[in-house]
Amino acid sequence: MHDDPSAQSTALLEEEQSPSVSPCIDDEKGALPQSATPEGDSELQHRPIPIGQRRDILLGAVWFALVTGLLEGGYWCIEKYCLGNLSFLNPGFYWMAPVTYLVIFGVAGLVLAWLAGHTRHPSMLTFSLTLMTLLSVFSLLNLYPKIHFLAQFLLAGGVATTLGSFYDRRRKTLTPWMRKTACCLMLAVAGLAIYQQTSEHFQEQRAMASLPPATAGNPNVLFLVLDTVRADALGAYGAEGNPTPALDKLARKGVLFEQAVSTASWTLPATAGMLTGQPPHELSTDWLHGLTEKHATLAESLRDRGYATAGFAANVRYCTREVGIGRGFVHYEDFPYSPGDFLNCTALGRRLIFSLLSPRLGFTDMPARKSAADINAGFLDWLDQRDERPYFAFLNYIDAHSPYVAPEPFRQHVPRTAAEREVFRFWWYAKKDNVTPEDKKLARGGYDDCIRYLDQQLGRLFDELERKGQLENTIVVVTADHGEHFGDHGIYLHGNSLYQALVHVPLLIVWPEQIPHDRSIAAPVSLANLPRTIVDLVDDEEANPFPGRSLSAWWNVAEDSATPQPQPLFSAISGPLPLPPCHGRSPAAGGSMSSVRFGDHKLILNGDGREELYNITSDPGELHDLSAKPKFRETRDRLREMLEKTKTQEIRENG
Amino acid sequence: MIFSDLVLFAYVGPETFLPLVSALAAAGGAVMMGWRQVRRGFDWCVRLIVRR
Repeated sequence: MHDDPSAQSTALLEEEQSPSVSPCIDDEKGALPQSATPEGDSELQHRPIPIGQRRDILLGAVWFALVTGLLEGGYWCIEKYCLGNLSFLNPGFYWMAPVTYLVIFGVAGLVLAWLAGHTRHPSMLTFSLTLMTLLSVFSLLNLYPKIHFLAQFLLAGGVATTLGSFYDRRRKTLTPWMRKTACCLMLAVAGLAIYQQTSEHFQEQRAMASLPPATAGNPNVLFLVLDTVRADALGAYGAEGNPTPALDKLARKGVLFEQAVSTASWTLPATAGMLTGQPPHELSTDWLHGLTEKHATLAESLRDRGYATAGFAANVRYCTREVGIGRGFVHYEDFPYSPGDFLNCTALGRRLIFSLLSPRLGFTDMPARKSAADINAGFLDWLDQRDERPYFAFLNYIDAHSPYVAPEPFRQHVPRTAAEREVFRFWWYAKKDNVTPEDKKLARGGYDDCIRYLDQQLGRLFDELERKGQLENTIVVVTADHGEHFGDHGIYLHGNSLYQALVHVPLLIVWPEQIPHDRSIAAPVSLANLPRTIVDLVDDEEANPFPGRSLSAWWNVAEDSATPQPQPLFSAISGPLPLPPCHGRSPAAGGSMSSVRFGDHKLILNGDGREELYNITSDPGELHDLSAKPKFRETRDRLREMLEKTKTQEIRENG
Repeated sequence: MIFSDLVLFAYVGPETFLPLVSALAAAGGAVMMGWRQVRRGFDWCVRLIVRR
């Protein structure tokens, strides 16, 4: 500290009071300077700030921020790259965590430096370093949030006080060492950030350069997946009040499937299913495991046909490159690099957002949520920069996912009481045992607000594409990965059952001049047929690598020929999510579930072995279980047999 | 995977906590914070015994 003459002069210049007072202080012992008056209140006023103390406090903040961030980044590197676990974090977490901690510790450092100037206490440096240690250890302990907040705080305090006496003893050598190491750490973080950003850029350039030539005149494919949108939330599917004029208008330009069924009731297996054509049991996906490379994806198939492939995902948990959904896309945008995203890269940031700040500040939305406007902007920017080759763009929108917080002016359902705020803020986690009809109405109202906003943004996207002349030779597919429960069967949210509220999703396919206009198809179809359908539409000459049957069979039926044979439609979800949506009355609480729909009937095999049979045509709400009725025993046995055969190739290929 | 269920939704709720681990962590922290006092008390006891 005061060994450094330049630092000494800087500190002298910083002195706002008593410039005549000698700043020479026995910093190691915290003793008063010789020239200071040792009596009364005037002592504090005349006590000089120890040389460079404020600067050293800020240095300590930087050092602790970098060390904490890099330790946390290192932990996630081991989890992700050594143990093969999913991190659910931005891939740049190893430099984003130190940067985030720089801001958090920087604020703490500034406050402490101000206090050092104000109190003029010689031990402020030791005190500050002790506090930084507490914050650092507390942050790292948050990597294991199963320890109670107060216990974490006490343990961090214990470590900090133990190290505090060490700082006191080694003050003379500690700060020069911190200065040197902080410079190295800073360079390391900058290097990691540059490496991550440039390597992604060059990878994309290389992938783009290595694309094979595309067949002239091939159509573009625009694949829109609306996360958590129930079929019955759209006007075209019977919702009242004209909530989705843009999607209804689009539906009139193409084919609408009235009974489209998703292969799962939550995002990852459902999206993986519609990109690979595989049912969930063929995929490796579950709550903690991503999609492996066993099955080719639609993006890979189209990329190999010379398509420029791009994905824009708003669901940054289960539609990321990390979970395998981005495989085959030359360009993929998932994490937003927003302040919320940065905070989410740190254990302390997650704690601050979810447990400390959001309940107190009334923050209800999910951090780092990408709105439909963000997704559209990302896609349109990419569209302007691409070359003339056809494209396959996958757009995932998460606006309808809880918490149901629509932007203004769509936000018509606003919580007014504390209890109502809970509905929005922690709807995912809140226990649903005492949900009132008003709560239910509020949640559903908020959800519908979100869908109105989403529809408006989709309308803007279609208008912009039309203005650019992009819709003429573009196949537009609009669907959803799953729906949402609002108390049907006493269940809320999704991923916890296989009832129609979750697996019945919208499906629109539009290709001007090539696909019939304003056509509704009542036959139940599975989203697992989408990859085969799309490849069939863009390139019917080469072998189609995807299983199932092209949905074009339903709109290409000649008047004199028979309609295609119905297919068994499988859906499944793996074991219970270790969080409240799958607790209690949720059917998935008992374990993995599967269901099969064939014709009018649907059999659900619950995790606890219990069976349910419904006639979906006459009982779309699945209120009357027919499984115990002797009259339907044969139907039940036939469907059960189908379900058991799902693992054989035969039934998937031949329907 | 130990932590993913928590990182996944960043959920920290009352049912998430492990009471025994939390109690041990708290006790450890408290002992570390009061270690000087513990040592002082120990020294005092030793002195007391030696004097006798």
